[in-house]
Amino acid sequence: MSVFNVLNAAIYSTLSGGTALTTLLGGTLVYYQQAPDGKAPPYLIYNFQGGGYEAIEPRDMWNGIYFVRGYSPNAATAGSIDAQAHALLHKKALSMAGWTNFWLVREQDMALVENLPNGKKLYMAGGMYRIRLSA
Amino acid sequence: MAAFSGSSLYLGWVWSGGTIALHGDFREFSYEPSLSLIESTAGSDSFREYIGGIGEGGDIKFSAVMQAAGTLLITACARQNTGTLLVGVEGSATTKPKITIPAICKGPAFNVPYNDIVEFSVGFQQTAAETMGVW
Repeated sequence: MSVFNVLNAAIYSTLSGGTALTTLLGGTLVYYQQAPDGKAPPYLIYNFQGGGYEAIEPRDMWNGIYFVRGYSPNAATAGSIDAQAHALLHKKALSMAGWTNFWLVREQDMALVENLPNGKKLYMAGGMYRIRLSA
Repeated sequence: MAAFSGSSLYLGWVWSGGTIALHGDFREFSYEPSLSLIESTAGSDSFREYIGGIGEGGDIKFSAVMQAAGTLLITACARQNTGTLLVGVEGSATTKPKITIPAICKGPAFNVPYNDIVEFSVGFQQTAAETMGVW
């Protein structure tokens, strides 16, 4: 069974259900892979970073990394978005059809700034989350 | 002829509580029968010689991914449980090799790493001659 759609839906549901996070974002500005063109930050982006199936037993198992991060013109706000995403994901279990999520742990932190063509700065703060699933 | 992987393994354990299929979440299985040898070196022999003695029960090892709230394996593989192992290294399709092994359980063991799957393992001691046949 393919993972992407059910896992993406589970992550979106978890993040968009976090009221402290959506308050920071000013709505459910949670997007897969990229924000809509022209969307003004702050917002949260998550994407599949790598991984796949593990053939270590007859039952299907999946082991992958998702990159979840907040963007804001303000570094502190980007950090706060990241903190809320962390609280919703780290050492929690996603609920998803057909799979059991038995491991969800943040493994690596990421932060950087982009200098936009209009001279403004866009700050990012986030982390890589390891997700392991058993069918 | 063609090589085949261990993924086809059939492993059944017939004991007083019923029959349980052990291969559902297996990681590794090994069976190594043995034979007592009688030394027959004599006279001016320049090489140590043997003749076959009696058979010796093989050491049988099995490990599997532990399933949440799973007690069936633990109960079926309790120390002192006696029964019969039905082994199909190439599966249990008609005409595939089948090994029937009378055995006694040494008891369940667990490997519990913090950040990885929990594994169940058990050792069996063969208690009488095995039967080689086909399914």
